[in-house]
Amino acid sequence: MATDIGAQLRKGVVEFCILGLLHREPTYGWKLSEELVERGMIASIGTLYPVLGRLRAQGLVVLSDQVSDTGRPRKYYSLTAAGVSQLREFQAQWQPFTSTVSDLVGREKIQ
Amino acid sequence: MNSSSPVVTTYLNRLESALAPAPAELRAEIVSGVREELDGLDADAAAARIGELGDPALIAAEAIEGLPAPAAAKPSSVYLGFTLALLVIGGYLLPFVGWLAGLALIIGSPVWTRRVKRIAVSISASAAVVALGALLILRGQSYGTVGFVLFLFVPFVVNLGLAYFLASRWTSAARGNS
Repeated sequence: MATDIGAQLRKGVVEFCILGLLHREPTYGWKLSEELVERGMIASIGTLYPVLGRLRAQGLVVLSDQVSDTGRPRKYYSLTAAGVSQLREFQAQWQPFTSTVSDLVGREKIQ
Repeated sequence: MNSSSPVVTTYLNRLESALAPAPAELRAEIVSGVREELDGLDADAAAARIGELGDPALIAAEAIEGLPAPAAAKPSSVYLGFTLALLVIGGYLLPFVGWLAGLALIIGSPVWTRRVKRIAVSISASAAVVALGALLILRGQSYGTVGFVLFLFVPFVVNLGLAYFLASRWTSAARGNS
């Protein structure tokens, strides 16, 4: 059976994508899920929560009760200082990493 | 907070049941995240949101697949056996207290969903009320023996049925964690 390359790649980076979204602004689970599903990074909201659970367990993300802009009470996820630091570290490594991989696999489209 | 739309309540119940094999904390977080989005919407808006979310079984399958292996602890069959034995015969071995201990173990288990626990406790308590009612109403009358027999057998039969129901829910949770 062929490996689903896209799924493997997404699995490796989805945590950092969530950290990136939360760095822009604290937000609630549904909104995070909507954005990630729309961009094809997760399959459904079911994929999101185990990742959020891991990020919380690692102390990178915290949860707080807030009222959303529509006036509804929501549980908001936001980055901790450790989360910001982890994201900074990832950003620093990501560009050189993708550049190296592109060099190795070749930039020309294989016919 | 209660959702006004029956569509929402049904969907959340299906989601909670599908997530039975997941750890309680994750299950609560997913259900609460979905509930806070659906609460307060009218039926059409809720149905549209539910359509975006998709099948609860798929959501649950993805959530469980995303768990690290150690988080999915295998439920203990000793706990199950002890709980069901107390539920069915605990009240005969240690009147009232044995049965109550069985209910406490059902409520305390991390495996069954809140809905399953609610069903089990309310049915078992109803059977106890019926049995006690039969005993008290028929006491001292010519049907007094019938009242006593009902008092002994109604809880036994009902709790035996509940034990079967709880065991099947436990097995599906254990299978999901293996």
